[in-house]
Amino acid sequence: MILTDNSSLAEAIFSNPSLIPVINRFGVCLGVGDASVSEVCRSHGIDLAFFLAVANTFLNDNYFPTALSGAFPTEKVVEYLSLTDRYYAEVQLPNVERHFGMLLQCSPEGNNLPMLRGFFHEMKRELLSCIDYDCNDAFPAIFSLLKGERGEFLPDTERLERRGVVEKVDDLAAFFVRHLRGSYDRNLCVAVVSAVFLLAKDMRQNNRIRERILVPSVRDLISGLHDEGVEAR
Amino acid sequence: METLLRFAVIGVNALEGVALRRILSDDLGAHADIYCRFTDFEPHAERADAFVVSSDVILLNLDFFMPRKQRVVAVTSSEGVGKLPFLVLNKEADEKEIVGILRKAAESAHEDTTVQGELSSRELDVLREVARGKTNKEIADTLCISINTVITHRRNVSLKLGIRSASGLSLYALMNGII
Repeated sequence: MILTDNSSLAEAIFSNPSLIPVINRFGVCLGVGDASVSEVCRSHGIDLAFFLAVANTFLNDNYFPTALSGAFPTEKVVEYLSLTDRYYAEVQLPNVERHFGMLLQCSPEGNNLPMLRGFFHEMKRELLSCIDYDCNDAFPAIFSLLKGERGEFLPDTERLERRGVVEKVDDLAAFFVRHLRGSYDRNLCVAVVSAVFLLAKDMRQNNRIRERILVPSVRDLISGLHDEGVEAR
Repeated sequence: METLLRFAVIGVNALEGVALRRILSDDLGAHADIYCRFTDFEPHAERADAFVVSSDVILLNLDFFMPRKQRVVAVTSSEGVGKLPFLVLNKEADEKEIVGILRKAAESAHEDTTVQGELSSRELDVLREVARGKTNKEIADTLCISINTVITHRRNVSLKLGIRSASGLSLYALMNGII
């Protein structure tokens, strides 16, 4: 499904509920009525081209707006990814953790859920460390580069790509689907798996923005400083 | 043709061993190897799919039995082992109850061997080394194969298990008694 300025936002959400966290990051809440995407963007002061580029990248695995890269100004990408990080740290990780705790409480012993929870905690620590790096080091450094200033250090593009932690979230989903053993509370397990799937999809799709839009932009910015001999940290 | 499940019966007396072998064979169609001591069993550990073990032996060898807990039946006359995550077979139980517990262990073992059965022995070797935290180069040296072969085996393991990260593969190996 490709969203256009005339698409009904409500219809898009009906078809893809995973779009809800994306619109939330733009400050749009549910209760959108029959408004089109362009009407919603206008009423919320959102850049329509940027919204469409992000939403379509999120909705379609094969959507790669090379020709539209102008719709991805680096400042806006960084702002959007900052909101995404905040959403992971404040909403999605606690949501998985809360449901996981309830699932363990309500399930009999003898399953492998405690081991899966240990794996979740490892993934959570790694993701929070990535978020900390973005917020405190990488993003401020990118803003400095955009102003033409040389910051304290340069962002590490490999760390910006976050491939390791995205793999781990996918692995957590795979552990539930393929390798869960023993008895467990089925309803609560659905809640945990749904929350993990939502987080995994969100991270995968936003990583496409990191890998294909943010990192090339940062590399371009850094190459401008190449002659000055600044090293990445 | 489906392979017979192999139970290792460890640390029970001769009479209990004979009775368990008969039940495993007649009711579950499984094979039973009987060992007096854990040290007798240890050299043959890899060929057992499930374990029926006296609680004393379990408590002295938790490192071995905990990772395989779904496939372990603890034989006890007390409630001591009930707090550990094993299937518990009380010596006072009737035959129907005993068969039910052994069947649960057999089902877990069957699930495990079905998944692990997807991996070739060489893939299991590579998975074991990944789980020990070795790099591709170290694995190649240990198994005397090229790095490219290690990478191919790793890719196949990941495809078969749906797990890509090294720590995920380690967890899988731990959960399934591969390490």
